[in-house]
Amino acid sequence: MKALGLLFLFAGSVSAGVVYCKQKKQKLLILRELIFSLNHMEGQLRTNDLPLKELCTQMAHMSGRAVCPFYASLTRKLSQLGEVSFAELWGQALTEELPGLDGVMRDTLLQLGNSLGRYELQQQLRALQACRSSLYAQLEEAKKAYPNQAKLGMGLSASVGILVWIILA
Amino acid sequence: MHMVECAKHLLEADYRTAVDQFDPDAIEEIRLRIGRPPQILMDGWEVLLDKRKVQERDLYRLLEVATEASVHTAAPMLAEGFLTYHGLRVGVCGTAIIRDGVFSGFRSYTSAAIRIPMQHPGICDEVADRLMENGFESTLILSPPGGGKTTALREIIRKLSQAGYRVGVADDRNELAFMNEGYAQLDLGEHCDVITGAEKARAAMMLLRGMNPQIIAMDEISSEKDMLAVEQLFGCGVSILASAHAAGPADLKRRDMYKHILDRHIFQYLVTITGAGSGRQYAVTRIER
Repeated sequence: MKALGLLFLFAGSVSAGVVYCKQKKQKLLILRELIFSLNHMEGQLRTNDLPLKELCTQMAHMSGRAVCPFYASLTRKLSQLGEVSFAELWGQALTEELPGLDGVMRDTLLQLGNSLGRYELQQQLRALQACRSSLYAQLEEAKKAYPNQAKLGMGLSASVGILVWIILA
Repeated sequence: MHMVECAKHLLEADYRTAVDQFDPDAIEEIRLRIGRPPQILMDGWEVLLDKRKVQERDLYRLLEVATEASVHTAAPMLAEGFLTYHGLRVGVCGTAIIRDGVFSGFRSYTSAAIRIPMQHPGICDEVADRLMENGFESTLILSPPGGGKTTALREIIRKLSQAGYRVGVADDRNELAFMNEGYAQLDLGEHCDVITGAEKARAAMMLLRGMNPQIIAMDEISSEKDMLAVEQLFGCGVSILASAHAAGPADLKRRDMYKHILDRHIFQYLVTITGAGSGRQYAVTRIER
Protein backbone atom coordinates (compact mmCIF):
# COMPACT_ATOMS: atom_id res chain seq x y z
CA MET A 1 0.00 0.00 0.00
CA LYS A 2 2.84 2.32 0.97
CA ALA A 3 4.66 1.50 -2.27
CA LEU A 4 1.50 2.28 -4.27
CA GLY A 5 1.19 5.65 -2.48
CA LEU A 6 4.81 6.47 -3.22
CA LEU A 7 4.30 5.49 -6.84
CA PHE A 8 1.34 7.85 -7.08
CA LEU A 9 3.36 10.69 -5.57
CA PHE A 10 6.19 10.06 -8.03
CA ALA A 11 3.76 9.89 -10.97
CA GLY A 12 2.09 13.14 -9.80
CA SER A 13 5.40 14.93 -9.64
CA VAL A 14 6.42 13.71 -13.11
CA SER A 15 3.05 14.63 -14.61
CA ALA A 16 3.48 18.17 -13.25
CA GLY A 17 6.64 18.31 -15.34
CA VAL A 18 4.75 17.02 -18.38
CA VAL A 19 2.05 19.68 -17.93
CA TYR A 20 4.75 22.36 -17.67
CA CYS A 21 6.34 21.15 -20.93
CA LYS A 22 2.93 21.05 -22.64
CA GLN A 23 2.25 24.64 -21.61
CA LYS A 24 5.52 25.73 -23.13
CA LYS A 25 4.73 23.82 -26.31
CA GLN A 26 1.24 25.35 -26.42
CA LYS A 27 2.79 28.81 -26.18
CA LEU A 28 4.93 27.98 -29.22
CA LEU A 29 1.84 26.79 -31.10
CA ILE A 30 -0.18 29.92 -30.21
CA LEU A 31 2.68 32.17 -31.25
CA ARG A 32 3.08 30.34 -34.58
CA GLU A 33 -0.65 30.48 -35.33
CA LEU A 34 -0.94 34.12 -34.29
CA ILE A 35 1.93 35.10 -36.55
CA PHE A 36 0.38 33.14 -39.42
CA SER A 37 -3.03 34.77 -38.88
CA LEU A 38 -1.58 38.28 -38.63
CA ASN A 39 0.34 37.63 -41.80
CA HIS A 40 -2.86 36.61 -43.54
CA MET A 41 -4.72 39.61 -42.13
CA GLU A 42 -2.06 41.95 -43.44
CA GLY A 43 -2.30 40.39 -46.89
CA GLN A 44 -6.08 40.63 -46.97
CA LEU A 45 -6.06 44.25 -45.81
CA ARG A 46 -3.36 45.19 -48.30
CA THR A 47 -4.90 43.51 -51.32
CA ASN A 48 -8.64 43.38 -50.66
CA ASP A 49 -9.20 46.27 -48.24
CA LEU A 50 -11.59 44.02 -46.31
CA PRO A 51 -13.74 45.38 -43.48
CA LEU A 52 -12.77 43.94 -40.09
CA LYS A 53 -16.03 42.04 -39.63
CA GLU A 54 -15.42 40.07 -42.80
CA LEU A 55 -11.76 39.66 -41.97
CA CYS A 56 -12.48 38.26 -38.49
CA THR A 57 -15.03 35.81 -39.92
CA GLN A 58 -12.46 34.67 -42.45
CA MET A 59 -9.81 34.27 -39.73
CA ALA A 60 -12.21 32.26 -37.56
CA HIS A 61 -12.60 29.78 -40.41
CA MET A 62 -9.04 29.46 -41.51
CA SER A 63 -6.93 29.83 -38.35
CA GLY A 64 -5.44 26.86 -36.53
CA ARG A 65 -7.20 25.26 -33.57
CA ALA A 66 -5.20 27.26 -31.01
CA VAL A 67 -6.31 30.74 -32.13
CA CYS A 68 -9.51 29.99 -34.07
CA PRO A 69 -11.70 30.33 -30.91
CA PHE A 70 -10.27 33.81 -30.39
CA TYR A 71 -11.35 35.03 -33.84
CA ALA A 72 -14.69 33.20 -33.59
CA SER A 73 -15.40 34.90 -30.26
CA LEU A 74 -14.35 38.28 -31.66
CA THR A 75 -16.66 37.83 -34.66
CA ARG A 76 -19.58 37.12 -32.32
CA LYS A 77 -18.72 40.08 -30.12
CA LEU A 78 -18.66 42.51 -33.05
CA SER A 79 -22.45 42.72 -32.81
CA GLN A 80 -21.85 44.80 -29.66
CA LEU A 81 -19.88 47.39 -31.61
CA GLY A 82 -21.17 50.82 -30.75
CA GLU A 83 -21.87 49.89 -27.15
CA VAL A 84 -18.34 48.58 -26.66
CA SER A 85 -15.29 49.71 -28.63
CA PHE A 86 -13.45 47.34 -30.97
CA ALA A 87 -10.32 47.56 -28.80
CA GLU A 88 -12.32 46.43 -25.74
CA LEU A 89 -13.97 43.58 -27.67
CA TRP A 90 -10.55 42.49 -28.90
CA GLY A 91 -9.23 42.57 -25.31
CA GLN A 92 -12.24 40.60 -24.00
CA ALA A 93 -11.81 37.91 -26.66
CA LEU A 94 -8.10 37.65 -25.80
CA THR A 95 -8.83 37.22 -22.10
CA GLU A 96 -11.58 34.66 -22.65
CA GLU A 97 -10.11 32.56 -25.44
CA LEU A 98 -6.34 32.87 -24.96
CA PRO A 99 -6.04 33.00 -21.16
CA GLY A 100 -2.59 31.44 -21.19
CA LEU A 101 -0.93 34.41 -22.89
CA ASP A 102 1.96 35.85 -20.91
CA GLY A 103 2.17 39.58 -20.16
CA VAL A 104 4.38 40.59 -23.09
CA MET A 105 2.33 38.68 -25.69
CA ARG A 106 -0.90 40.08 -24.31
CA ASP A 107 0.37 43.67 -24.29
CA THR A 108 1.61 43.32 -27.87
CA LEU A 109 -1.78 42.07 -29.02
CA LEU A 110 -3.73 44.64 -27.00
CA GLN A 111 -1.71 47.37 -28.70
CA LEU A 112 -2.68 45.95 -32.07
CA GLY A 113 -6.35 45.96 -31.03
CA ASN A 114 -6.07 49.70 -30.40
CA SER A 115 -5.00 50.33 -33.99
CA LEU A 116 -7.01 47.85 -36.04
CA GLY A 117 -9.90 49.43 -37.94
CA ARG A 118 -9.26 52.76 -36.30
CA TYR A 119 -6.65 54.39 -38.48
CA GLU A 120 -6.03 54.65 -42.21
CA LEU A 121 -4.76 51.53 -43.96
CA GLN A 122 -0.99 52.18 -43.87
CA GLN A 123 -1.07 52.89 -40.13
CA GLN A 124 -2.95 49.63 -39.55
CA LEU A 125 -0.49 47.72 -41.70
CA ARG A 126 2.40 49.19 -39.74
CA ALA A 127 0.74 48.16 -36.46
CA LEU A 128 0.24 44.63 -37.82
CA GLN A 129 3.87 44.42 -38.90
CA ALA A 130 5.10 45.69 -35.54
CA CYS A 131 2.94 43.17 -33.69
CA ARG A 132 4.05 40.34 -35.95
CA SER A 133 7.73 41.23 -35.53
CA SER A 134 7.36 41.34 -31.78
CA LEU A 135 5.56 37.98 -31.71
CA TYR A 136 8.17 36.53 -34.06
CA ALA A 137 10.96 37.64 -31.72
CA GLN A 138 9.08 36.04 -28.81
CA LEU A 139 8.64 32.85 -30.84
CA GLU A 140 12.37 32.63 -31.63
CA GLU A 141 13.19 33.19 -27.97
CA ALA A 142 10.65 30.59 -26.86
CA LYS A 143 11.92 28.10 -29.46
CA LYS A 144 15.48 28.51 -28.21
CA ALA A 145 14.46 28.23 -24.58
CA TYR A 146 12.08 25.28 -25.07
CA PRO A 147 14.58 22.33 -25.11
CA ASN A 148 16.26 23.54 -21.92
CA GLN A 149 12.94 24.36 -20.26
CA ALA A 150 11.60 20.92 -21.19
CA LYS A 151 14.71 19.19 -19.84
CA LEU A 152 14.68 21.33 -16.71
CA GLY A 153 10.97 20.82 -16.12
CA MET A 154 11.08 17.06 -16.60
CA GLY A 155 14.35 16.69 -14.71
CA LEU A 156 13.19 18.79 -11.79
CA SER A 157 9.82 17.07 -11.49
CA ALA A 158 11.45 13.62 -11.66
CA SER A 159 14.06 14.62 -9.06
CA VAL A 160 11.38 15.93 -6.72
CA GLY A 161 9.50 12.65 -7.20
CA ILE A 162 12.60 10.58 -6.39
CA LEU A 163 13.44 12.78 -3.41
CA VAL A 164 9.94 12.38 -2.00
CA TRP A 165 10.19 8.61 -2.63
CA ILE A 166 13.52 8.40 -0.74
CA ILE A 167 12.32 10.55 2.17
CA LEU A 168 9.07 8.73 2.65
CA ALA A 169 10.47 5.25 1.94
CA MET B 1 -36.92 54.76 -37.62
CA HIS B 2 -36.50 58.55 -37.45
CA MET B 3 -33.20 59.74 -38.91
CA VAL B 4 -32.31 61.33 -35.56
CA GLU B 5 -32.59 57.90 -33.91
CA CYS B 6 -30.15 56.60 -36.50
CA ALA B 7 -27.79 59.53 -35.84
CA LYS B 8 -27.91 58.84 -32.08
CA HIS B 9 -26.13 55.52 -32.64
CA LEU B 10 -23.07 57.56 -33.54
CA LEU B 11 -23.04 59.43 -30.22
CA GLU B 12 -21.94 58.62 -26.68
CA ALA B 13 -24.72 57.83 -24.19
CA ASP B 14 -24.75 61.28 -22.54
CA TYR B 15 -25.08 63.07 -25.88
CA ARG B 16 -27.83 60.63 -26.92
CA THR B 17 -29.84 61.60 -23.85
CA ALA B 18 -29.24 65.28 -24.59
CA VAL B 19 -30.53 64.88 -28.16
CA ASP B 20 -33.81 63.52 -26.76
CA GLN B 21 -34.52 66.96 -25.26
CA PHE B 22 -34.95 68.42 -28.76
CA ASP B 23 -37.73 68.11 -31.31
CA PRO B 24 -36.33 65.52 -33.74
CA ASP B 25 -38.08 67.14 -36.70
CA ALA B 26 -36.24 70.41 -36.06
CA ILE B 27 -32.72 68.97 -35.91
CA GLU B 28 -30.77 69.67 -39.11
CA GLU B 29 -27.27 68.74 -37.96
CA ILE B 30 -25.36 67.52 -34.92
CA ARG B 31 -21.89 69.04 -34.78
CA LEU B 32 -18.96 67.78 -32.73
CA ARG B 33 -15.72 69.76 -32.40
CA ILE B 34 -12.90 68.56 -30.14
CA GLY B 35 -12.51 70.76 -27.08
CA ARG B 36 -15.88 72.45 -27.62
CA PRO B 37 -19.36 71.55 -26.43
CA PRO B 38 -21.42 69.75 -29.09
CA GLN B 39 -24.00 71.78 -30.98
CA ILE B 40 -27.24 71.13 -32.79
CA LEU B 41 -28.14 73.04 -35.92
CA MET B 42 -31.77 74.15 -35.87
CA ASP B 43 -33.39 76.71 -38.09
CA GLY B 44 -29.97 77.63 -39.46
CA TRP B 45 -28.42 78.35 -36.04
CA GLU B 46 -26.26 76.28 -33.72
CA VAL B 47 -27.70 75.53 -30.28
CA LEU B 48 -25.81 73.98 -27.34
CA LEU B 49 -26.49 70.24 -27.13
CA ASP B 50 -24.59 69.39 -23.95
CA LYS B 51 -22.06 71.06 -21.63
CA ARG B 52 -19.53 68.22 -21.80
CA LYS B 53 -16.81 69.16 -24.25
CA VAL B 54 -16.20 66.82 -27.15
CA GLN B 55 -13.15 64.62 -26.70
CA GLU B 56 -11.07 62.71 -29.22
CA ARG B 57 -12.69 59.45 -28.12
CA ASP B 58 -16.15 60.81 -29.13
CA LEU B 59 -14.98 61.25 -32.71
CA TYR B 60 -13.21 57.89 -32.80
CA ARG B 61 -16.35 56.25 -31.50
CA LEU B 62 -18.44 57.97 -34.15
CA LEU B 63 -16.07 56.78 -36.88
CA GLU B 64 -15.89 53.29 -35.44
CA VAL B 65 -19.67 52.90 -35.47
CA ALA B 66 -20.11 54.57 -38.87
CA THR B 67 -17.48 52.36 -40.53
CA GLU B 68 -18.10 49.20 -38.43
CA ALA B 69 -14.55 49.51 -37.10
CA SER B 70 -13.11 49.66 -40.61
CA VAL B 71 -12.08 53.25 -41.23
CA HIS B 72 -9.80 52.11 -44.07
CA THR B 73 -12.82 51.01 -46.14
CA ALA B 74 -14.24 54.55 -45.96
CA ALA B 75 -11.09 56.20 -47.34
CA PRO B 76 -12.59 56.94 -50.80
CA MET B 77 -15.56 58.67 -49.16
CA LEU B 78 -13.39 60.45 -46.60
CA ALA B 79 -11.37 61.77 -49.53
CA GLU B 80 -14.56 63.63 -50.50
CA GLY B 81 -14.79 65.00 -46.95
CA PHE B 82 -17.56 62.82 -45.58
CA LEU B 83 -18.79 59.30 -45.03
CA THR B 84 -22.30 57.91 -44.98
CA TYR B 85 -23.98 55.87 -42.28
CA HIS B 86 -27.30 54.32 -43.29
CA GLY B 87 -27.81 57.30 -45.59
CA LEU B 88 -26.80 59.94 -43.05
CA ARG B 89 -23.98 62.11 -44.26
CA VAL B 90 -21.22 62.64 -41.72
CA GLY B 91 -18.77 65.39 -42.63
CA VAL B 92 -15.32 64.91 -41.11
CA CYS B 93 -12.36 67.27 -40.57
CA GLY B 94 -8.86 66.50 -39.37
CA THR B 95 -5.23 66.30 -40.40
CA ALA B 96 -5.15 64.65 -43.81
CA ILE B 97 -2.54 62.13 -44.89
CA ILE B 98 -1.54 62.47 -48.52
CA ARG B 99 0.52 59.66 -50.04
CA ASP B 100 1.88 60.04 -53.59
CA GLY B 101 -0.52 62.92 -54.05
CA VAL B 102 -3.53 60.83 -53.08
CA PHE B 103 -5.57 61.25 -49.90
CA SER B 104 -5.35 58.09 -47.81
CA GLY B 105 -7.09 59.11 -44.60
CA PHE B 106 -6.87 61.34 -41.57
CA ARG B 107 -4.03 61.18 -39.04
CA SER B 108 -6.28 62.71 -36.40
CA TYR B 109 -9.79 64.13 -36.31
CA THR B 110 -10.90 67.54 -35.16
CA SER B 111 -14.61 67.77 -35.94
CA ALA B 112 -17.62 66.03 -37.41
CA ALA B 113 -21.06 67.13 -38.59
CA ILE B 114 -23.89 64.61 -38.77
CA ARG B 115 -26.46 65.87 -41.24
CA ILE B 116 -30.02 64.72 -40.75
CA PRO B 117 -31.95 64.27 -44.00
CA MET B 118 -35.19 66.17 -43.77
CA GLN B 119 -38.49 65.68 -45.49
CA HIS B 120 -40.82 68.64 -45.41
CA PRO B 121 -43.78 67.65 -47.59
CA GLY B 122 -45.25 70.64 -49.35
CA ILE B 123 -42.36 73.08 -49.12
CA CYS B 124 -41.72 72.93 -52.85
CA ASP B 125 -45.25 72.36 -54.14
CA GLU B 126 -45.46 75.78 -55.78
CA VAL B 127 -42.01 75.41 -57.30
CA ALA B 128 -42.83 71.96 -58.67
CA ASP B 129 -46.18 73.16 -60.06
CA ARG B 130 -44.43 76.03 -61.81
CA LEU B 131 -41.80 73.68 -63.27
CA MET B 132 -44.52 71.33 -64.56
CA GLU B 133 -46.69 74.11 -66.00
CA ASN B 134 -45.64 73.53 -69.61
CA GLY B 135 -44.09 70.12 -69.17
CA PHE B 136 -40.99 69.64 -67.06
CA GLU B 137 -37.70 70.94 -68.48
CA SER B 138 -34.17 70.53 -67.10
CA THR B 139 -33.74 72.41 -63.85
CA LEU B 140 -30.81 73.25 -61.59
CA ILE B 141 -31.39 73.98 -57.89
CA LEU B 142 -28.96 76.42 -56.29
CA SER B 143 -28.11 77.24 -52.69
CA PRO B 144 -25.04 77.69 -50.52
CA PRO B 145 -23.90 74.61 -48.49
CA GLY B 146 -26.54 73.68 -45.91
CA GLY B 147 -29.11 75.80 -47.71
CA GLY B 148 -31.63 73.02 -48.22
CA LYS B 149 -30.80 71.88 -51.77
CA THR B 150 -31.15 68.18 -51.05
CA THR B 151 -34.45 68.64 -49.22
CA ALA B 152 -35.82 70.76 -52.07
CA LEU B 153 -34.57 68.31 -54.68
CA ARG B 154 -36.21 65.41 -52.82
CA GLU B 155 -39.50 67.30 -52.64
CA ILE B 156 -39.48 68.24 -56.31
CA ILE B 157 -38.67 64.62 -57.25
CA ARG B 158 -41.58 63.46 -55.10
CA LYS B 159 -44.00 65.92 -56.71
CA LEU B 160 -42.85 65.06 -60.25
CA SER B 161 -43.10 61.36 -59.48
CA GLN B 162 -46.57 61.81 -57.95
CA ALA B 163 -47.61 63.74 -61.07
CA GLY B 164 -46.78 60.65 -63.13
CA TYR B 165 -43.29 61.42 -64.41
CA ARG B 166 -40.90 58.46 -64.39
CA VAL B 167 -37.93 59.79 -62.41
CA GLY B 168 -34.60 57.97 -62.29
CA VAL B 169 -32.49 59.03 -59.30
CA ALA B 170 -28.69 58.71 -59.38
CA ASP B 171 -28.26 58.81 -55.61
CA ASP B 172 -24.55 58.09 -55.19
CA ARG B 173 -24.46 58.97 -51.48
CA ASN B 174 -27.86 57.52 -50.61
CA GLU B 175 -28.98 60.91 -49.35
CA LEU B 176 -32.11 61.36 -51.39
CA ALA B 177 -33.96 58.10 -50.88
CA PHE B 178 -32.17 56.92 -47.73
CA MET B 179 -32.44 53.33 -49.02
CA ASN B 180 -32.28 50.62 -46.42
CA GLU B 181 -32.61 46.96 -47.40
CA GLY B 182 -34.32 47.87 -50.66
CA TYR B 183 -36.86 50.27 -49.16
CA ALA B 184 -36.70 54.03 -49.52
CA GLN B 185 -36.89 55.55 -46.03
CA LEU B 186 -37.85 58.92 -47.49
CA ASP B 187 -40.78 59.22 -49.87
CA LEU B 188 -39.83 59.87 -53.49
CA GLY B 189 -43.24 59.11 -54.95
CA GLU B 190 -44.79 56.29 -56.94
CA HIS B 191 -42.83 56.47 -60.18
CA CYS B 192 -39.28 56.69 -58.99
CA ASP B 193 -36.32 54.34 -59.59
CA VAL B 194 -33.18 54.79 -57.51
CA ILE B 195 -29.58 53.66 -57.99
CA THR B 196 -27.44 54.18 -54.90
CA GLY B 197 -23.73 53.72 -54.39
CA ALA B 198 -22.62 54.16 -58.02
CA GLU B 199 -20.99 57.34 -59.33
CA LYS B 200 -23.51 59.77 -60.79
CA ALA B 201 -22.23 59.44 -64.37
CA ARG B 202 -22.41 55.65 -64.28
CA ALA B 203 -25.75 55.54 -62.44
CA ALA B 204 -27.29 58.06 -64.85
CA MET B 205 -26.30 55.97 -67.88
CA MET B 206 -27.55 52.79 -66.20
CA LEU B 207 -30.90 54.46 -65.53
CA LEU B 208 -31.05 55.79 -69.07
CA ARG B 209 -30.38 52.38 -70.62
CA GLY B 210 -32.39 50.27 -68.25
CA MET B 211 -35.29 52.19 -66.77
CA ASN B 212 -36.64 54.42 -69.55
CA PRO B 213 -36.83 57.53 -67.34
CA GLN B 214 -38.35 60.85 -68.41
CA ILE B 215 -36.30 62.75 -65.83
CA ILE B 216 -32.95 61.90 -64.27
CA ALA B 217 -32.25 63.52 -60.91
CA MET B 218 -28.93 63.89 -59.12
CA ASP B 219 -27.77 65.81 -56.08
CA GLU B 220 -24.80 68.18 -55.97
CA ILE B 221 -23.13 68.22 -59.33
CA SER B 222 -19.79 69.65 -58.30
CA SER B 223 -16.95 67.85 -60.09
CA GLU B 224 -15.77 67.42 -63.67
CA LYS B 225 -17.10 63.85 -63.57
CA ASP B 226 -20.55 65.11 -62.55
CA MET B 227 -20.51 67.64 -65.39
CA LEU B 228 -19.63 64.82 -67.75
CA ALA B 229 -22.70 62.92 -66.51
CA VAL B 230 -24.88 65.96 -67.22
CA GLU B 231 -23.38 66.43 -70.68
CA GLN B 232 -23.82 62.76 -71.50
CA LEU B 233 -27.52 62.98 -70.64
CA PHE B 234 -27.98 66.15 -72.67
CA GLY B 235 -29.61 65.30 -75.96
CA CYS B 236 -30.65 61.81 -74.87
CA GLY B 237 -34.33 62.71 -74.62
CA VAL B 238 -34.48 63.01 -70.85
CA SER B 239 -34.75 66.08 -68.66
CA ILE B 240 -32.27 66.65 -65.87
CA LEU B 241 -33.03 67.75 -62.34
CA ALA B 242 -29.91 68.53 -60.34
CA SER B 243 -28.56 70.71 -57.56
CA ALA B 244 -25.34 72.68 -57.17
CA HIS B 245 -23.52 74.77 -54.58
CA ALA B 246 -23.99 78.43 -55.42
CA ALA B 247 -25.55 81.45 -53.75
CA GLY B 248 -27.30 82.37 -57.00
CA PRO B 249 -26.98 82.51 -60.80
CA ALA B 250 -24.19 85.10 -60.72
CA ASP B 251 -22.22 83.01 -58.24
CA LEU B 252 -22.72 79.94 -60.42
CA LYS B 253 -21.27 81.62 -63.51
CA ARG B 254 -18.03 82.37 -61.65
CA ARG B 255 -17.02 78.73 -61.96
CA ASP B 256 -15.90 77.66 -65.41
CA MET B 257 -17.47 74.20 -65.35
CA TYR B 258 -20.92 75.60 -64.50
CA LYS B 259 -20.50 78.45 -66.98
CA HIS B 260 -19.85 75.83 -69.65
CA ILE B 261 -23.07 73.89 -68.99
CA LEU B 262 -25.06 77.13 -68.75
CA ASP B 263 -23.62 78.30 -72.07
CA ARG B 264 -24.70 75.03 -73.64
CA HIS B 265 -28.26 75.66 -72.38
CA ILE B 266 -28.50 72.23 -70.80
CA PHE B 267 -30.73 73.68 -68.07
CA GLN B 268 -33.82 75.73 -68.80
CA TYR B 269 -34.71 76.70 -65.21
CA LEU B 270 -32.86 77.70 -62.07
CA VAL B 271 -34.39 77.34 -58.61
CA THR B 272 -32.54 79.59 -56.17
CA ILE B 273 -32.94 78.99 -52.43
CA THR B 274 -32.37 81.90 -50.06
CA GLY B 275 -32.80 82.28 -46.31
CA ALA B 276 -32.50 79.64 -43.64
CA GLY B 277 -34.69 77.28 -41.64
CA SER B 278 -38.41 77.92 -41.90
CA GLY B 279 -37.74 81.26 -43.62
CA ARG B 280 -36.35 79.68 -46.77
CA GLN B 281 -37.58 81.10 -50.05
CA TYR B 282 -37.54 79.53 -53.48
CA ALA B 283 -37.24 81.58 -56.67
CA VAL B 284 -37.75 80.03 -60.10
CA THR B 285 -36.08 81.75 -63.05
CA ARG B 286 -36.05 80.75 -66.67
CA ILE B 287 -32.63 80.86 -68.27
CA GLU B 288 -32.83 83.06 -71.33
CA ARG B 289 -31.06 81.89 -74.45
